[in-house]
Amino acid sequence: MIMKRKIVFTANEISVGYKVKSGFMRSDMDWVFQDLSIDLYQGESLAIVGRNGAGKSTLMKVIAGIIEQDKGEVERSFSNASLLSLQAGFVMALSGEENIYLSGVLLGMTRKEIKLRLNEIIDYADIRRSINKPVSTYSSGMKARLGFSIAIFSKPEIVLIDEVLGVGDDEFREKSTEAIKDMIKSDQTVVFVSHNPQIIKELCDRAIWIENGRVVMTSTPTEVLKKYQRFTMICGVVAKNIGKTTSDVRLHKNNIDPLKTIERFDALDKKNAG
Amino acid sequence: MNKYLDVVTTRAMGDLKSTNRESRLGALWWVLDPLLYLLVFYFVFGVFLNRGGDGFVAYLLIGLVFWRWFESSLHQTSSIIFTYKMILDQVYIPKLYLPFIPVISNFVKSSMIVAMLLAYLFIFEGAVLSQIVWFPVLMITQLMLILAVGSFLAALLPFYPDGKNLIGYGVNLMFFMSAIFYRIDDMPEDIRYIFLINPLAYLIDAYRGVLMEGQAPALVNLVMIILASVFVYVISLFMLNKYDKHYPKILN
Repeated sequence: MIMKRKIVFTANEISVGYKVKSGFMRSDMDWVFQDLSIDLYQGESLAIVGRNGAGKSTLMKVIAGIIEQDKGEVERSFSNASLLSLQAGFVMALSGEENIYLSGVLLGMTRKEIKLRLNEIIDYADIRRSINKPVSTYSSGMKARLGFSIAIFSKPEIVLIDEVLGVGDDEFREKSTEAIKDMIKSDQTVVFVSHNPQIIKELCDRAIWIENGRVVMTSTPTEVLKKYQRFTMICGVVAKNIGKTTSDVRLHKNNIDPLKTIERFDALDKKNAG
Repeated sequence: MNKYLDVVTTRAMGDLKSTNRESRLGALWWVLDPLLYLLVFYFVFGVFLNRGGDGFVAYLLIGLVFWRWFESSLHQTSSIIFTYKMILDQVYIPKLYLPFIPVISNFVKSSMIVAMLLAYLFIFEGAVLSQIVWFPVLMITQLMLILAVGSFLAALLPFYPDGKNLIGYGVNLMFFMSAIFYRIDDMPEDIRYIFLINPLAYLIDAYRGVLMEGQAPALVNLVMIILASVFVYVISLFMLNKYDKHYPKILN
């Protein structure tokens, strides 16, 4: 398996929280996750699974080095990780070509490197005809394509993908999925956040499930998704029966350890069946 | 290092290129904009209030041009971390590079206006050349002052977002206290010390001395401003560095 590969990122019992105002000049910590440990191996593609607000995006930011953990240790052996598709760097009044430079430098390329890859980026995004027009005239699909193309050619050591596989038209979605598959086949390290089980199963070789700010399990995508979907289903049914929201049930103290909850319900099912 | 140099220059160039790109007259606004700005003040103080008398137009223009450079730079630099909020949420950029982006773009823009001003002064106002060597020294000093104050506010404001509202008032106050459209000599003597502690009042006065009277600037003040700028800038660097990965969190 992948276990023999070199570790490129390690988080050891890290906690990340945001300060929330709790009164005049006073604030409390609102923890996104606590005591979370995770390893990332060279060349693997890791999926992070969890409900909305479980801390997936925050974890991505810690891996990318955008924010720092409040507690715990982090070790990383790469200098350049970026979130794929960076449309935030676009200056709308400027042309597509000018924006390739503006976003490219943010993604860690030098102007020289961008110049060398310029034609490839334009062709891949398929915007040759509009390349000298201001980006403000682009459709959202064109902008997504341009952003994705710049990011792909910036060749970061670690690629972080946060639900980006839904961008552009059908044709480009296929093309971008293809590009990501190619990256995965090469020695590219990829971290995925996605709600699409099909894509996770197809593209990732390991998955990690985060719930209530803790790692519930780490295994193959199929195994993790099986348990994850089972837990989601259980919580959905319970929520319906007792008239509460699914998130309330998920956060309830009985369900702090989702695997135990699953065991409990599996046993219950068996009893009912037998 | 080279990487971030490219970030700064490319983003600064983007700033410059995007200015007025969407307007009909485009690049012409680069000249029109400062020209109209100067005309407004010239009309109010030179014609309408008929102040100052001889040489007042040159006096007023010098003050306004260098004030405008300071004001527009400070405005953009102090809020640079807010401006880059979305980007900083997705890629890591050491925050200490960010202030250079608006400082450089505003320097380029202002340099063109300064060139226009110099041309005007030499052609129509009989500017003096004897102390002109001091002119670049003054500009570099002002550039350092802008970088220092701008970076300091940029580092501080994310912690006190309300301060953004106060900066406008502070800048306004400074404008009226910088002896731009009146003469320090016309002020009562017991309040003149205020102009001595305002670095911009000193700089504007020094520009006027160098350009119109062939007078070298007072060295003590100049050195003081440079030292103070270096000191403030070092504090800013320390803060930007210390809270480098904290800023993206508090901007949410």
